[in-house]
Amino acid sequence: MENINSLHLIRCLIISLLMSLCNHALQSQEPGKAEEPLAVPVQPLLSHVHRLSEAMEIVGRPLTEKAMQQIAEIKKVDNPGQVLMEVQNLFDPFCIAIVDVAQTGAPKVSRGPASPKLLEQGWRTFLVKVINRHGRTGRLFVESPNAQPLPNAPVSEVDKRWMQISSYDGQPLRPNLSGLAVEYRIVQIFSRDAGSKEAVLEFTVSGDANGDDALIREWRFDEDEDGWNAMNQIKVDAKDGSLQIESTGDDPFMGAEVVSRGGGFVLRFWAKTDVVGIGQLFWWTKDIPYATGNRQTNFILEPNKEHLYEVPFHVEGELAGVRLDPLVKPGKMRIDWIDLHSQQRNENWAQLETEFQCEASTPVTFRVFDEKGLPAFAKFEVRDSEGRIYPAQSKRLAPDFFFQRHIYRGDGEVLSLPPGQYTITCSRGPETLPEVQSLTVGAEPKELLYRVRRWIDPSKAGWWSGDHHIHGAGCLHYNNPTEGVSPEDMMRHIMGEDLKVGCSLTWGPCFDFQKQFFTGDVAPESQYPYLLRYDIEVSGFGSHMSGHLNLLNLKNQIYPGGDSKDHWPTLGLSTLKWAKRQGAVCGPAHSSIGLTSFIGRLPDTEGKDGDNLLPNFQIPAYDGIGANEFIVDVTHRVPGADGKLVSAVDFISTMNSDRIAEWNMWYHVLNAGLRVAASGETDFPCMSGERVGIGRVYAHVDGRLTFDKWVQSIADGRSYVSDGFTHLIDYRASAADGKQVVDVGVNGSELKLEQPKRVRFSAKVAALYGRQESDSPVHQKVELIVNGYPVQSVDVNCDGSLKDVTFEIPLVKSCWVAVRAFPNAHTNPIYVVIDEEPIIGSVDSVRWCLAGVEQCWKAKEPFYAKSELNEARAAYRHARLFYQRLLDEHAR
Amino acid sequence: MEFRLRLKPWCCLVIATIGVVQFSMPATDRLSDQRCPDANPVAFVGRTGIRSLSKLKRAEIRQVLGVIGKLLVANNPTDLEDPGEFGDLARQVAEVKTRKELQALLVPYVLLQVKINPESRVKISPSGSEVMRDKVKLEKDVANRFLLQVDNHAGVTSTLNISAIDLSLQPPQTADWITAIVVNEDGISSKMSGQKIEYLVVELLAKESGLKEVRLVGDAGQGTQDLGFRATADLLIDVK
Repeated sequence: MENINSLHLIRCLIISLLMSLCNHALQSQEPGKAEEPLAVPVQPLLSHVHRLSEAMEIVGRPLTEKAMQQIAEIKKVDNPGQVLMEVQNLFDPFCIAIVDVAQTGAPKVSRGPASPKLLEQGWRTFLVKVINRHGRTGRLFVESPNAQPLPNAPVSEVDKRWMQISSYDGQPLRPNLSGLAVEYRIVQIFSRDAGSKEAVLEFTVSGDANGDDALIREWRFDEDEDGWNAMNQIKVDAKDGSLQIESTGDDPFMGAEVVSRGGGFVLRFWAKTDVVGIGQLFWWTKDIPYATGNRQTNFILEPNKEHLYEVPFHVEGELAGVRLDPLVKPGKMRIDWIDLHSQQRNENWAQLETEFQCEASTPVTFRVFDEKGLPAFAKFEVRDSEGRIYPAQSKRLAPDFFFQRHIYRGDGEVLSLPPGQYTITCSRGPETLPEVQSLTVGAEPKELLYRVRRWIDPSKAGWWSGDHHIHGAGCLHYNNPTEGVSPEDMMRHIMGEDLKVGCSLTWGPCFDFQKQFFTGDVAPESQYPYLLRYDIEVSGFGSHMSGHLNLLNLKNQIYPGGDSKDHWPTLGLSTLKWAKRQGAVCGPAHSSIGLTSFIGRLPDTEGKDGDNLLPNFQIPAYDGIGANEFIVDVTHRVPGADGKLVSAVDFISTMNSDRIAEWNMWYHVLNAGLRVAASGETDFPCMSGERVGIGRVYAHVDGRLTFDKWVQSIADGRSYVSDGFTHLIDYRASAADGKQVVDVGVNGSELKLEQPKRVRFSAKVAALYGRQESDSPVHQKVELIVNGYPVQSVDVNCDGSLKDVTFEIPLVKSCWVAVRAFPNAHTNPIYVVIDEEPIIGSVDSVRWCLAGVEQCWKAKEPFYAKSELNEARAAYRHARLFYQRLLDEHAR
Repeated sequence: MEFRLRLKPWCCLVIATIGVVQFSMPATDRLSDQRCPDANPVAFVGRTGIRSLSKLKRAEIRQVLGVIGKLLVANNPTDLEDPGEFGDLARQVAEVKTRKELQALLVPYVLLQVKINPESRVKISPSGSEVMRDKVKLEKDVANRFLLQVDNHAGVTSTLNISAIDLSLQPPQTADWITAIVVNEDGISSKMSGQKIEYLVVELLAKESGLKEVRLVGDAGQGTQDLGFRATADLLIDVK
């Protein structure tokens, strides 16, 4: 916004003349119907002016002291006509448009006197003058087709969608027009680009008695939920005139029926949440009456403030309902109102074509060095003094992801920023110490220097971080303008999080596009020690209904009999047999899904639940896509690459879903004598779009890191799972006499004893949360777990230092033993075999597994293809017999 | 949109309509010169009507009925034409089964929602009701009473204050054309009870006619401590 300068008087005269001409022009548009002169009561007009000055300060463009002095002078004027004139003289120069609201229909719109100057990557604030002779009290909407979001935009639209426009309706302004004959509204416009840019600004007044018919449905919550129903992992309650929403899981959603012909719509709602991330909008139609993955769009949450969300979407067919996934994680949101508008512009919309001049912003070069001084990538969250994020999220395409607030930049890369003050949070994954830098950007190019400081480096001891489940075309990515993102983009994110290994899994969406990146080896874009490999997640096709499967280290990515995804078997075990035959490393994904609702409790287990409900004996419903058929598959041995029998399942995925449910399943199968490892995953960006490596695994590799060695360590359980902030390194067991030492994952993780002995378990433990998370723990409880129950524990200071932790216990029977730092990290187990007796940790666990097989069959049978039913029955029968045999043996 | 509560001759005619035979609450000062001497909606709906509710709900509803009584006696007490509105309201209030129903019934009569967070910060906002959205209509020199819905998460029991600021003055200062007070008289207090949800009564008295704007500012005894205009509500007032 331009300042008032010393030529103010001359400007006032010119503006008065322009205003007269403008008013004349407006009046002359209706020949024969001369408009009466504008008359506005002085008191409410001056109150509005005062609130406007307050609001301009809030949006970061306060009026100059001189302008504030002028307001003070205007308040002393007695003559109402003069007050109005002087108010207009003061504020009209800031107006990008003048909107003359008609009694009904479209307003008349003309260009205001404000200079149409914008700033590349920056926001500019303008006013819109509203002439409201008819006292309309609806809401003024200012939109633009050039402000449509880029994610999911057709390629042809990418260039046109260069701007972002935002109306400020918050306190101390009101969302609706006051009804005064003259008032001003605030709009802010962002430009993605530099140079001369054309835009169409669109205006309408809606929501009052004379409003347009673009309003399809408005939901208000003064009396009840007004048709919104909780559908999954969500509580919805109308309270205090608002819809109070509480998400209880990672996939919360609610829905409402609404009928309209298809076309373009925009769902607007006024909401507040303290959650960072994104929300999603799905819709369904009369012919396909349920939400589907290809009919959804995303929106970016603006945490810790009230915000007007505007979510455009396009419906093919007749709209029958909308589903709002307000958050994708546990948290709360308050929604004050929801409106659904048609985006099909009708006669109630007016358009104003405007050419903007967008000044180039200033290049800021990132200088990024790792702890050795070598050029590196890192993560940066860039905010201006108003807290706004750069680059603007809605204008991002890869390599910057619109659903993240941060970006990743490597040494020498450039980000253009408008002049101003910035706060930049720099980090490089959980093993580093984040730091916050202040940056003042002026007209001259600038450099930002970030030297990575670590608090830990497990790779020095041979423990290499990885995330076995990320996507280049995940839930939050887009199908347009590209089908997901490229390997180069994924590498940038992997390196920026210092994640040594990333397994980018091709799945349902964009399968036939993303499959081109599979090479049967690490991707050529890999940059040692950062390795990227494309493999498969069975998800959205094949056996996905019985539980998604991660298939790692495949040699062939397509199941025999086709070249895509629609011919795959519906029985997960069949897929596993195929994958294991080629030497793949396999396990279920997002394990807790389907294990968090229960059909009842295993009889005679009251009082047997452990700390943190680990283990517990609730019988899951097996009604989801996590480790469900796993309870069957884990009992099977199938031919491996060399034809010898190997376990059908190598690992269970952990660290990205309900921790109790995923670890509970793991504990029970271990207690049934099955040796299966835990691995860590994120399922980025489906379970979380925050970053890759939220859930991760640290696998030990001898010598130089290779993917083959790393993934074999996953299968061998030579690893620990972690959130990256707690580490359990070098876990080992030794008989107290020191004669036998077993490192986790080596030689089958098995410590063989001829007789009961005292056994020492040790690990190097470190944790640091204080500088990364606001609700961080001061101590981390580290427990020794025997057959699922803690037997000893020690508190470790979360100060980042590596501490030797040792437990020593007498063992009298075969068992599995691991170290746990709930809920942040867990080692894989060491199996202590005494006198060659098999490990049966708990008969109740075996009973729990057997009950799980029965329930899983009930839940999954409908999803198996008829042609595979016999095979499925046989697979389940095998599992039943396996667990029953254990019970029988124990009874004997 | 017009919003004005007129006193109906509820205290006489509703008695006959619903057959209540006795009032027990003493007359307020304001009522002392009125034709109908008593104003206890608890009495006029009959005690059996709320007997089935829990103790908490009974107390809550009695408080609400008392508050409604204060609305009724204040708003144009000389109008004897229409007995219906407040009798119906009081009767419906007495029959509610849930707090949610109660709040829904009262929405049209609420001028401001007052939220007090656990740190005793006051947030006020215009009522979500449609009749309050555009402008509030008052009559010059006539005291008009409205409800304040108080959502008290701090459990504070201090006095709730509402003051009226005229932003058109330089600098903005207490309005001289309108007064806003939280009613404190027999049977109704401006002190909060500490209950999580309660209703108080605010009285607006305009001394000048015309279309005007007022900023109402709320505080609970600690000043406004306002951040981001949370404790203010700007209302357009149409004074006839």
